[in-house]
Amino acid sequence: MPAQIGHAVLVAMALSGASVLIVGCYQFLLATIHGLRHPYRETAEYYPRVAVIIPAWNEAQVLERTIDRMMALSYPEAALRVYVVDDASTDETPALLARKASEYGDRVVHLRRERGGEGKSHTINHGLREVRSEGWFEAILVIDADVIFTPTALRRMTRHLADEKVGAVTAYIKEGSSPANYINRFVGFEYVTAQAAARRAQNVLGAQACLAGGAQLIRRDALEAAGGEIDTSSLAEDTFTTFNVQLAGYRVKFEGNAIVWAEEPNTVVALWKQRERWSRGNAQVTLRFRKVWLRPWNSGRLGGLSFAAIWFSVVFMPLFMISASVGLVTLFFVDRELSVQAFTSLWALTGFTYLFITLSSLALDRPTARKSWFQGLMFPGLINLTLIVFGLWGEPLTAHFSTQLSDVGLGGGDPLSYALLLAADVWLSASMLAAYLLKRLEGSGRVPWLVRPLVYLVGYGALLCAITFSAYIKEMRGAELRWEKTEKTGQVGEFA
Amino acid sequence: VSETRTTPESLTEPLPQRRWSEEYSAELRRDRRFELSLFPQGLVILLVIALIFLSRLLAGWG
Repeated sequence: MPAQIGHAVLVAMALSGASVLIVGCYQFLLATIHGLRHPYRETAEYYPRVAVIIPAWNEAQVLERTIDRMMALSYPEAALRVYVVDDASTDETPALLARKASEYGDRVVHLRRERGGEGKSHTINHGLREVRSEGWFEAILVIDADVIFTPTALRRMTRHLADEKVGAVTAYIKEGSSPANYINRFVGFEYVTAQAAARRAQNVLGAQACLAGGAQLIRRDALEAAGGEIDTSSLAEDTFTTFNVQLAGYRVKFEGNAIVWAEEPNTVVALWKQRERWSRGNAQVTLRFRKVWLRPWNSGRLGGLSFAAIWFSVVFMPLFMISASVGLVTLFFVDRELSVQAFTSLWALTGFTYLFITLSSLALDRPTARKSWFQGLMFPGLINLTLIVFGLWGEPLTAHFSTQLSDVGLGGGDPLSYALLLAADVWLSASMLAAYLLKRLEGSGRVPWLVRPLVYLVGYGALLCAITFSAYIKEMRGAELRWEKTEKTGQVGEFA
Repeated sequence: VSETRTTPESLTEPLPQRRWSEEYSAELRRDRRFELSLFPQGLVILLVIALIFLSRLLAGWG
């Protein structure tokens, strides 16, 4: 009996490798019913006075277009002011802002911090203090210096503020680099799942995990209720704000039809730097809000089981991969037949969830699908796709290959077959190591032509897992919290 | 078009506000339609996955 329990635990560990995808499917199912839940029932045409806060440090290359596009929004001129908080920039930013202030009058305000370098959250807070002391605004919109709002994005967001229970609204940030390379396209596809689907699902659940840093619209009352300023002690100030607004009793909404374009990293190293910061921020949020999880009586929808499942499926992603490998490898040595069954079940489950998520993503955002369909299909990587094929069509293929191997003297029970199975068992966690080595390879500048095929081989998903794992190691070691800006070139295409 | 410009005297509503109202209604209809379209779309995808699952099951897998 204890042996049976042990085996059941090992099988459960093995199947945990598919948990991120299973939760992903759940989110897509929720996103499917988003429209049936009347997302616009409480909305109305509404133009509150919006103070746009743009934190900027040496952003001359991208800021001009951002300001021009904000000024050209389909929104009442008298109800929109842009405050650029210049964090002691040493480039052309101050000169640019002086020019823009004379061009647009009091609609563009240059706020200068003479002693900068404290990080983005301090810069935003400087702007918040100025704007709050002025008292003109009814809502603030915190954006990044490089984002491009489509003309109707803001009014599509503000319509939700007509409902006084809504405290904050975020938009759909889309990858808009032009020209876009393969990493940009992977990010573009990832955002369909992580934003367009996941945040619609969170609308249905009534709890949002994060206001996208590049488009955070917050009602004045909600901002005051959440403390009036944003958190400066973590790397995830946008997630802290999102949680605080909801814990203050307000709802947070995602508006998937308000499109904002952003330039995202285009190399593995840049992606690693950006996502490591996000993952460390998520770890900090998990610990700081530990009294929120699974306590619906205390924290409303944020404390619900569904929201916890979504949050922790991402936070524990690398642990699930390691757990799956440990379960499969242990089973391999204690019960080989069961280990083959667990292996096939895991990859069949992965296969069905992959098909559902990929097809749903391609259907949900067709312009992105046209641009990034190949990266969508290749998201798990070629090795994992091979294992998925074995999971879905394993028996006929195994039989086919067994016959072929037998013909050359390597039968189904021979050491080669076992070695292949063991290697596949280990791959789930070993793929993270491979992704880490890939990042080192790119960083070294040697054989740059090899990086792209290796990303397709190892998989973008494995890359994200490895980054999360690396972030946790840094967090546990108490590595310095540094806000490292993602370099932007201003090459965001004209999409509006 | 500045916000203070008004329509002919017979109407009191500022011009941009009227134009925006029309645009707002059209936008809202479009967005509602898009959100509602996600449901049948999701059902079709689920059906496709279910058919693949069934075909594998009938072929003796599982």
